Amino acid sequence: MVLRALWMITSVWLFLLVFSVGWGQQRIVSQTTVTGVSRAFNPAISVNALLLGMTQLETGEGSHGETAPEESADHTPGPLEGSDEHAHESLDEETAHEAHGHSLGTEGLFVQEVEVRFTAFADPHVKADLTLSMHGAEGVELEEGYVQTLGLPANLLVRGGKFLVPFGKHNPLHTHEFPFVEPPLVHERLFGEEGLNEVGIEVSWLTPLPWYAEVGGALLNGDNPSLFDLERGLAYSGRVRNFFDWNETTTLELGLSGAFQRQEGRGWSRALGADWTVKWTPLETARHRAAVFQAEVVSGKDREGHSLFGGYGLVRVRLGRPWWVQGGFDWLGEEAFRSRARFALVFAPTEFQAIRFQYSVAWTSGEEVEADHRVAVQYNVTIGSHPAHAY
Amino acid sequence: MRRYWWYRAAGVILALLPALGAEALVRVVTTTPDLAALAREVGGEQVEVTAIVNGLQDPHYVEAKPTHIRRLNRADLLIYNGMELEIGWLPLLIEGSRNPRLLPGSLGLMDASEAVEVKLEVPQGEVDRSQGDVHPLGNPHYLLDPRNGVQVARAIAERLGQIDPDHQKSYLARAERFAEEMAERIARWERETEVLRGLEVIAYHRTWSYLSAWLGFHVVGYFEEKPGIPPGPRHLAILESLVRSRGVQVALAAHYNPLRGLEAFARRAGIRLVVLPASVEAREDVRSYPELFDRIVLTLREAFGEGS
Repeated sequence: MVLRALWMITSVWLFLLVFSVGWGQQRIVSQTTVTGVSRAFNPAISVNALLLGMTQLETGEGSHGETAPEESADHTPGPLEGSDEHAHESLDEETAHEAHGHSLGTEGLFVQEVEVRFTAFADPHVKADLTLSMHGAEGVELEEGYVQTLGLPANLLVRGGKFLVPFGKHNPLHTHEFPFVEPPLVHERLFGEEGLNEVGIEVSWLTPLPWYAEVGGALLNGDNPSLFDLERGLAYSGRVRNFFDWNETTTLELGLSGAFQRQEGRGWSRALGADWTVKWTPLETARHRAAVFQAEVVSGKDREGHSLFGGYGLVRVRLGRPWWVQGGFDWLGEEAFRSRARFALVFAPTEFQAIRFQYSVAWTSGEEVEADHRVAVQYNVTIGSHPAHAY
Repeated sequence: MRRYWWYRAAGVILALLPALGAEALVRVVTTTPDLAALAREVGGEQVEVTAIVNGLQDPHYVEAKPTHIRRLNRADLLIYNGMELEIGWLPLLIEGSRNPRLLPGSLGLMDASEAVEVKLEVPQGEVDRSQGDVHPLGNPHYLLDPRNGVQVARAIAERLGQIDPDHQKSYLARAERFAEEMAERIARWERETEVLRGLEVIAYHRTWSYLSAWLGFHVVGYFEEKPGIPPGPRHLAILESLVRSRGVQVALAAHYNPLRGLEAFARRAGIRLVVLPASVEAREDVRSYPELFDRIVLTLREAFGEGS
């Protein structure tokens, strides 16, 4: 209990730090205003919006094509239906439908997400990052809000606040950075729609090994719809990330991740992951060619004690400056086995906007419906300060 | 016998000296190969210099590889071009480096553009992205004027002297010697390119603004409709009529521009496409900062000599 109170105080303190300390400045724009108050210390602001149009195609017998989300859920029973009595009370029809990876509904035009990001140095010692997101066209929530140290000794970096937990390659991505419209099946099932996004403190260490090897661990408040239970207190996560330059154009990244929380009477709920990425970028940047091969597997046990295993593999090829083609396969094995193949064509005329055309087909073992075909068009636009891109 | 012992001891000490020296090297990381070349000119034997961007790459489109984070982690000095050239990737590398020497405002972090007195194309009034990928602080390709290179070399020498005061004198002396040599070369390059004064060319990107301001030729049109926006057919048609009406003979491109499309345009419009190295290490024979201008001047003379 004391630990918990201490924890709450720390979190509150971190947030106050984000808001109270004067925002640092990133660009040199030093003009005073009529009021005599300088705006030079405003944080860098960028806004990203994701618009989505989606439709379900004819799926053969048993489907009516133009189904609304509720009806569709009737036709494609969730994999958890008919499983043992633990089958989440909370997992109503809609959630079962979500587990299909189509939580956005099946038809229509949506504002998938709007994200507002503020970044600034708080003072010479920490940098603060705040991301507010609006899912759909509704309420605002804190997607990420953390402070991060600059230049601690011993190659350490400490981050505190609310953040996307560094688990594998997919979880740390914001929605607009996803390679496809939806997250992989296993991520959506094990971490929920928002991903593994927790309040906590993370420490990471850059090892002195002759290649890039980073080891990190975090203490988390353990609040997740599927993996963690807020009642159970602290959760833990860890990540090892290795990065090798194969040659000047090709890189290899290998990672291991884990997240755990002790559940009463059921041992530990856990997620264990391994990821593998090969990236090829030719030195002659004129033609803007690139290729990415990535795979990630996750084995998990949710807070109710259900074991599951899943993963994804994807290939992304940049054909020329604005064009990317990509294909991916993802699966989730539980009581039922679900899998999905997705293909997408991305047109990105500048760094600040992209349009993605996606076709996906999903299968569930033991269902009458043979396959679920969908097409989606997603539009992604960024305004404001120039964002830096992670590799 | 006694004397013989002394010789041996001296021999051992001399053999060890380079190793001791290697320990004390100042580790310099630069973003571009041009800055690396300048740091080598003034740093001499006392520094170990590596560049993040390879000479073949367009510095606008580099990725923040974790390998570079390791390099920055060990660096004593990071020199970057500034004016937002590296904005898409450098901030992440610095943050990830966990290197207290590279914190904003520290001696170990140097924005080379601060040494440049005359900055070109600094936008007046409001800037937004309807103008394309515009750099709000001005055109960042200032090292394509060798006079700016001399200013930057002096600034690097001063910074190295602050970081490594034991060798301060030799850094400043080398910078002075470099400035003198460059003054002679600059005078020669200016003589050799007099024929270019007042000529009109077109170019792919606003890479050559400093070069043309120095040598006195004019870039009257760009393939890129706006900075960073590749040309569309309508813009190319306008450009072609511009080329014909003004009698433009030459189109300039950097070695990392999309040359195939430019060649097709040049053939159609009946002009010469001249590919210039835009940075050190762009070609096998461009290994140093002076060699970059040797090659640029030679290429321009050939192009304009035959073209006119």
